[in-house]
Amino acid sequence: MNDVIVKTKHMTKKYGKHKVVKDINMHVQKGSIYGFIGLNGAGKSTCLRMIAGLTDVSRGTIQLFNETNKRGVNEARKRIGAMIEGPDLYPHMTARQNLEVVRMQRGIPGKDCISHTLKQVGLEDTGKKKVRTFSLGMKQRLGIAIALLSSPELLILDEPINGLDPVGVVEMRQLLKDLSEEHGVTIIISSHILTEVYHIATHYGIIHHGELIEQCTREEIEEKSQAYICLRADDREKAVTIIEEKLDEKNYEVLEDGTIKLYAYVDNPKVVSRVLHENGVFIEELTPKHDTLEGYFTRLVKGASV
Amino acid sequence: MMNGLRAEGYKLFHARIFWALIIIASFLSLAMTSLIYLDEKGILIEQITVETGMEESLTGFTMLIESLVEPDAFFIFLFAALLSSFFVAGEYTNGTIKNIVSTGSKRLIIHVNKFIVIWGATILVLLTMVLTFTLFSSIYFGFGTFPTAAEWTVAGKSFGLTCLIIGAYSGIATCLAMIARNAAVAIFALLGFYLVFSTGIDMLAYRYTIFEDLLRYSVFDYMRNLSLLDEGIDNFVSRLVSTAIVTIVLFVGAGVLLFQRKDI
Repeated sequence: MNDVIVKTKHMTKKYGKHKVVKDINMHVQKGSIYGFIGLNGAGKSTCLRMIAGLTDVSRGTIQLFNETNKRGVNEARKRIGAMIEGPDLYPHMTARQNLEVVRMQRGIPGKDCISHTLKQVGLEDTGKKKVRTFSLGMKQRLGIAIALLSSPELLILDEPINGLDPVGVVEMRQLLKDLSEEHGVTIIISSHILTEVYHIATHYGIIHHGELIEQCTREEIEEKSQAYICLRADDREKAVTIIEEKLDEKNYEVLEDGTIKLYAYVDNPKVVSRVLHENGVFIEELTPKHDTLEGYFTRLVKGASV
Repeated sequence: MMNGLRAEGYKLFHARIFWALIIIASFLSLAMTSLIYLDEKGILIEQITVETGMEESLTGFTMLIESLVEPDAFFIFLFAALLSSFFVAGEYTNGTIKNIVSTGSKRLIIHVNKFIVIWGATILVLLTMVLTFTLFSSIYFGFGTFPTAAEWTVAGKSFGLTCLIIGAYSGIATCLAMIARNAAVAIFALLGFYLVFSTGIDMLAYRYTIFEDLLRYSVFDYMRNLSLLDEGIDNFVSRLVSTAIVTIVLFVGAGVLLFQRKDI
């Protein structure tokens, strides 16, 4: 579990004078599911493209399966399955024919792998239907099938759940978990749907403005996530005034739906309840909670932007 | 290398453009032979005459030899251009080039595979044109006498050299299509390239010696002189072969270099 599959050192990508990715030191451990999170344009896809060999590194190094020299790294890419920036398919071919091209390209013996992979992603019944008539979700599944066909040891998926329906999302989540847990496949998954990454990933890398601002395990995020009291009252403004004046607390946040997130008194919510009640505020909800990945990410990104 | 070639071959036989060109080549042959037939029979109005360039009587076999000795350079370049535009630039449009590159295959091999397939496919389209030309001529004019060994030799040599020139055209087409990354842009770029090097330089060659030399050593000039082969022009064959090979090496090499530096 401690083997590092992907290790980058000061990985940088420049276009002209503009650095889109700066000094990324990324560690992806064997068997882990690495959630790569960042806003649009943060540099996620550029990093994945450099790892997959679609673009060169301007500065720094990439180590793949312990290979460090360029030739070795390129050879190691034969052990990778990737879907970067959406599914890339031949629209005039069927799903099976698309996989046949990849099977030949990679020199995979036997055609059984095609049926098996199509079944894995739920596309076994598409028959002679051309890919151009597929829905976005079906194309996404086929893109994932292409990445999975060679039974890769490292799977790189850039926004794999885009376009999938809710059932498809659940199935995909289960498929990725199975691949990781049962087959020991290491997975790097980037997504802007943070809750989805949170459900799947065991490790996280948070990228912002081309810099990797945090890299941690799920346990570490849970530890670091800030606890708060989720408070809903009949008179929000009065509740806020009481929090500021009577409880002398300014560490709170009012959300758009009127919920107040109070980052204090987490160990003693009864005090908050009592003070609000004594001052005539009716409490609809008062629950101690932990920040989700979304909250943690937002705080990190806000902190990095300051 | 063989895996990549097999995959490219599979894609070719599933590509619409390949079958469309096969059909177009057959249709062109039918149209040409029909025009010749109508002209021979005097059915066409007087103003229209079809130049066959042949002194002997028209038969299936004479047309076979003729089409092998003097293929149309523009059509050959057009076939290579269309194939590479849809087949090479199309990979960028679909994004499927990412699937190929991320397999860890060497970019040199990927580019060379594409070049070989375009080369082979253009030869197949040309052969279709030659064979359908022979077939339709035989239907209209009969088979005629079987060509002599000498005629076969000249036809064989010419076709061999034509194949080399197709290689040069395919090298140019694959390289430019890879740079263009878009089928429509690639077609325009390739036709523009042909016009500049074939017609443009031809015109300039009348005024400036340097362009005359450039034209003499370009693959665009040789195609029109291919029929001189049976007249025994000195050094013509060796010059033609070396020019074609140099063009292939130059453009495939440039294509590989550019592809290796390209962000995908």
